[in-house]
Amino acid sequence: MTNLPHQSADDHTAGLSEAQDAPSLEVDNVSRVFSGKDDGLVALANVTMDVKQGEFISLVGPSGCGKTTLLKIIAGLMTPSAGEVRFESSVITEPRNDIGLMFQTPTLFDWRTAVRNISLPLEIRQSTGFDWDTRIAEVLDLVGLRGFEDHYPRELSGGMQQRVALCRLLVSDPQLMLLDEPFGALDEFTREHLNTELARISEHENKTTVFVTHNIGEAIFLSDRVAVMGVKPGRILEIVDVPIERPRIPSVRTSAEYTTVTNQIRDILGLG
Amino acid sequence: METITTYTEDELAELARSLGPPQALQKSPILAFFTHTATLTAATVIAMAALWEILSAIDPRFWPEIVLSRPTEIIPAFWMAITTGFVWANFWVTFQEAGIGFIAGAGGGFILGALIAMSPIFRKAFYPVVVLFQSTPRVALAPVFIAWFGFGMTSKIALAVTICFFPVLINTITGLTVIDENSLVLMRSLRASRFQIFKELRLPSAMPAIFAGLKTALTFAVIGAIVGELTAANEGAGHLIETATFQFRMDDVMAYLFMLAIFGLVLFLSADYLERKLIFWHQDTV
Repeated sequence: MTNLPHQSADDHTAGLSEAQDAPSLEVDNVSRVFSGKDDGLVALANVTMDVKQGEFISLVGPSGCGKTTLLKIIAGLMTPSAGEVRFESSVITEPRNDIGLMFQTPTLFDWRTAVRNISLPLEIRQSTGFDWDTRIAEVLDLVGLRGFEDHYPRELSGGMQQRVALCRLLVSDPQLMLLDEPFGALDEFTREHLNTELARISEHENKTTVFVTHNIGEAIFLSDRVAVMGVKPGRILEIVDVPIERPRIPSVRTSAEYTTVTNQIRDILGLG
Repeated sequence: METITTYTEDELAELARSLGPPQALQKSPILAFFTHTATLTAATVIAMAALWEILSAIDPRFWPEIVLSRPTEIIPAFWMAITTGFVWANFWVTFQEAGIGFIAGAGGGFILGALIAMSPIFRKAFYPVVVLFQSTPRVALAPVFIAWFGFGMTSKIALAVTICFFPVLINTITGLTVIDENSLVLMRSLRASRFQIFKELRLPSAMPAIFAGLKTALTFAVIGAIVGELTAANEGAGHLIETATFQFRMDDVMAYLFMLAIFGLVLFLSADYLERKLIFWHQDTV
């Protein structure tokens, strides 16, 4: 690894067990009420959730359960009506350099090549203290994009575009990764493939991750825990543990535990 | 379940060879020539000219030469026009008026458009005024400009500026304002400054719209110059056309119009080429 602005993996493994178990991300009694067009709509009601350092947690639920709203609040892009969110003990009030965001759409700039899309966060933040090219090469290797550096977004498939977006997220080594249905617009085969890749990358990078999806299978495959959310008002119904060994490989999907957790979540959501 | 067979690159290539090229898609070279755009366009032009010529020959009462010359007369007149220094000198005047008008009008449109798009104060102050002026037929200003700036080039440049200012202004405002929501959220999450958002996101996103405005403005600038010359002038392509019309030299009028058409086409194709080079990422450019 190169000299990065933040180093997490080593601190984590070397740390004391209490430090390891201390929550890294704390969502403390957060509510959000919308005014204006959706006057009085309670998008989120008293959501509380602790996420440990290096933990992968998914937010699953039907449309309107407030999962994207919660993600935006954690990202510092939206303020809660009540309650607060803390990351590494400091209250989130605005976007931060140690938090990275990824969307359902690749959101690449068409006029920049893949590699220049990836370096965008470094350029915007004028990052210093490490060699950009080395770090870019590292994330390209990690995501399997070598050889596509000079391609423009329109020359890449949907799956490849999302890989570029993933590289752009990873390049500045965020301590908290927020992913909003990143594979939601892809076909089933590509989605499954990228899930396997993300599981591998996430185990390698050991970052705290919040992953929004309405695909139960995807949530179980990737997560340590799944927060199951409900509507009217948007809230967390239950947080389910996923007792499946890592590394997560495709065969996980046919395991007995996988089926058990799936049924458990479907029960909570009232899907039978 | 059946076993999955994996083909090697060589086996795939062999398979493609054995299947041969897609027969149905192949076209004979002769058919390809006759269905080509250039061939068909040329055929249309020649057919129209021939019909025109025949109608003039059959019934001169309905196609009097004093009103409309025949193609066989226009072609020599055209040749005469493009080999005469005097004609070129007049076209050069029009070219300068349109060119200066375009640069000033489009430049001004872009700058004011960017200010309106980026500053709420500017927007409130200028946008209603812009809409008011935009809905005024601006060629009606031609006599006013003649009165203000005289018979020379200045009045024509002023008209060209006024006409080509608005398409660039409006398209700049639209282009800079209508931005992909997620891209803006991304830039905000990266804590980009207003200037960074403008330079890295808004301006490149707006380029296709701005360029569309510039292309319209280019045509408008020529219209402005010509209309100005038709109103009152002692030089320029518009002046040539007007003089020739009054003298019933219809073959010359048609030759000048033809020259203007070619002039316009060259400008349009240059702009199109430049657009493809500059906005290489945008696919919808036609």
